[in-house]
Formats: sequence, C-alpha cells, structure tokens
Amino acid sequence: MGMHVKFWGVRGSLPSPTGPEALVTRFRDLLHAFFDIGYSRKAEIEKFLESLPPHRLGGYGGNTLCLEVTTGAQQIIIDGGSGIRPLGYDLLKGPCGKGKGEVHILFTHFHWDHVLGLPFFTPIFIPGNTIHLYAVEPDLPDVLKTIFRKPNFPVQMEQLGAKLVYHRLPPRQPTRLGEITVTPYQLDHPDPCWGYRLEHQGKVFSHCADTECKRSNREDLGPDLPMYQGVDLMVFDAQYSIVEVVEKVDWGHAAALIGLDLAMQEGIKKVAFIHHEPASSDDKIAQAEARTREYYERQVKTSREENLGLHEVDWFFAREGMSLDV
Amino acid sequence: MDIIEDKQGAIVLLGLVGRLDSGTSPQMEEKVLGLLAGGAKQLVVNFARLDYISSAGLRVLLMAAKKLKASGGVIALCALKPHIREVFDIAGFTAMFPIHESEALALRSLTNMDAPWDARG
Repeated sequence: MGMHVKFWGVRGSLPSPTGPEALVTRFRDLLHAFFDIGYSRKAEIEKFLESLPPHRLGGYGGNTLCLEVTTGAQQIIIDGGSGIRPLGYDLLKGPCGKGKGEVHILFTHFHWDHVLGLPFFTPIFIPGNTIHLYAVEPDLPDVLKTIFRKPNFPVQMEQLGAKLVYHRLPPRQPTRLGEITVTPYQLDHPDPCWGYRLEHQGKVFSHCADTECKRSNREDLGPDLPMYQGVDLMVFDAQYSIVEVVEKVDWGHAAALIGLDLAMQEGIKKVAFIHHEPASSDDKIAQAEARTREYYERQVKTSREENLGLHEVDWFFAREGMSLDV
Repeated sequence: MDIIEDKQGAIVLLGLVGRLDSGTSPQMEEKVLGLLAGGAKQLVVNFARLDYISSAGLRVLLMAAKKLKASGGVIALCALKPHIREVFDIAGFTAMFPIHESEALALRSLTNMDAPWDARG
C-alpha cells in the first residue's frame, strides 16, 4: 500500500469556525438557489447539493494544521494544530482507545497554530499509549511543558497517561520511521521551521507549510532543493495573495502562485494548497483558487507558445476532511 | 534575462529581455537596489522584449515600487505584451502600477508629473 494523506486541519494561524451569521447567510442563499433553479421537492435536495461547489456547503474548514500520512503499517501525523482533536477521536477506534497505541507526530515548528490541539488529543491521556514526538529544533520538551502547565492548562505533564518519547531529527538527513523515510529541509519562516520529505515505495510526499518561499530558484534553495524535486504530492502555503506577500515580508507565508511556479519549474506532479488565511471567508478562498486557476492556465499557454518547458501540474486548494493517495 | 539600461535626464530606463522569473528576479532586484543606492528616483521599465513573467518577477517589481515610493521616487511600466498584461490583471497588479502603451508615453508621464499618474496611454 502506498502513502495516503488526510487533511485534518488546513487553516493557518488561528482556528476559524464559520460564525452563526455567516451560516444563516449561507443557508438563506442555498434555499434561494434551490427554488430559483426550479426545484421544489424533498427528493431533489441531494441532486441540488451535489451540483454545488464544495465551498458553498462545508467550506474549506476552520481547524489549524494537522495532516495524517498512512501506509499499510505506518502512521505519521504532521503538526498538532486544532485538527489533531478530531484525529484523536478517530484513533480511539483503534489501539489508542485500548491503551495499546503508538503514535508518531512530526512538528514543523512550534507556533501556536501547530501545537494548540495537543491538550485536546485524547490518546495522550490514555495510559499504555506511547506518543513519539519529533522535531528538528531542540525546544520540543520545553514547548510541551509550557502547554501542559497551570495556568495554561489544568493537566500537568506528569499527569498525562501516555508515555511521551522525544526524538530530535537531524536536518537534511534521512530518518527511517517504519515504512517511511523522513528527511527535514528548512523552510523560509520566522523562527526556524522545517518541511518534511516523506518517501515510501518510490513515492514522495513533501510538506511545505509554513513558508514565505523567499528562495525559489535552485541556486538559492541550495541544500533544501530536494524538498521540491522528484515530488509526487506537495502541500504548500497559500495564506496570502502575491500582493500581500510583498506587504508582509518576514511574516512567513506564501501565495499559491509561488508554489505553482515552483511546481511548474521542478515538475512536481500534484500540489495541495493549505494554511488558508483565518480572516478569509470560504467565498474569498474560492476566489483566490479561481484566480490561481486563471494564472495557471495563462502560464501553461505561454509556456506552450514560447516553448518555455514548464511542467503541467495537478493542483487544488485543500479542504478539511479531504484525503488522497500519493 | 538581459537588462538594458539607459538614461534620459534623471529618468532611468530598464529594458527587460527574455524571462523575469525565479532564476532572473535576483538579477533584477540587484539592479534596482543598485539604482536606488545611487540615488535614482524615476524608473521606467520597458517590457516590450519580455516574454514571460512569473510570481517571482511580480514580487520583485512590487518590492521595487515600494522601495522607490519610500524614497520619494516613482516607477512606470510600459509596452507589456498582452499575455504579460493578463498576468498583471490576474495578480491584481494592474491597479498598482502606472502602465503605459509605449516608452514615450511612460517617459512623458514622468517628465510631466502634473499629469495624472494613472493616465494610461
């Protein structure tokens, strides 16, 4: 079995639930659309819902960063944003629910949106479970102590039921985690942040959030270039528009156009854009996705006309709950 | 990419030839920063011979505009091919730069700053 990726949280910076007012507006718009089309019967509801673009129903999701990569025998979680809470409930259906679970969590860095779900990750409270925690930066034990400490949280580190095992990953060196080889490469983010290249059975998954991607040519990327070469699926930071990237220098986030250019340059087969801006509505994110589509189609056409040799790429803006094979 | 530099009075003219992308944008950045360090305040960038621009090119142009504005300077672009102009439109850059049909109109807009900066020729 190859690698399978599930997106448990794709929002950047802060959990962003759709508020009551926005939901009422959405329900009203959908009801109007249902009758405007000419539908009137209950039996037509499913057909109507299936005809809608996903962002008009569930939207992109409000939980912060958490991805799950699985093979037949190995599971790796990347980051512990608020998306790790529902993932924890899902894991309780297996060995984690019986105190026999072994969980592996890679941390890219320790900004809040990547760790704030940990106190609500139920397997960590169950005696008998072992939680392996991995990072390149040395601060991981201190970060955990800060999270599980009064007055930040009522449960102390010593009271956690599961056994915690810390692992420090060597930068740019492969580490074997069961069936998967993990290699960290540095991203462009304030406070060091590391992307992960995961390899299994000849397939490569590359996790590139949070990054401003100030370095985007081969020479500048230097030792971190392997993050972007020979990749089957890359997740990439799309928090901002290209204008906002220039306005927010050193904020550590990119635009979809930047990731798309990198993918077209390096021949990355598929790109999933994540780390959506918390202040953006689902409609606004969908508009950014539509503009990215226009840009991509324009550049592909130019590449053909001018013989530029850019690669064509399959890409999408990821939504919470999506999953796909690498 | 080649950058052909010329001068008309106080106005610096840069003619871009080829591709402005991740590989060549550092060259453009270096050129603009050098001009700024040398006290340049008025810059016209001629796109007539530019075949392709990527997000890295857009980024360096906007950075240049910001730095010029901060030092009381101004930038004008001219002679964009239709497909380059389309990229500007999609990225929301069209409204952020004075864009002119020709170099002559761009130069005129800078030599007669009383004219509205966004009066596109």
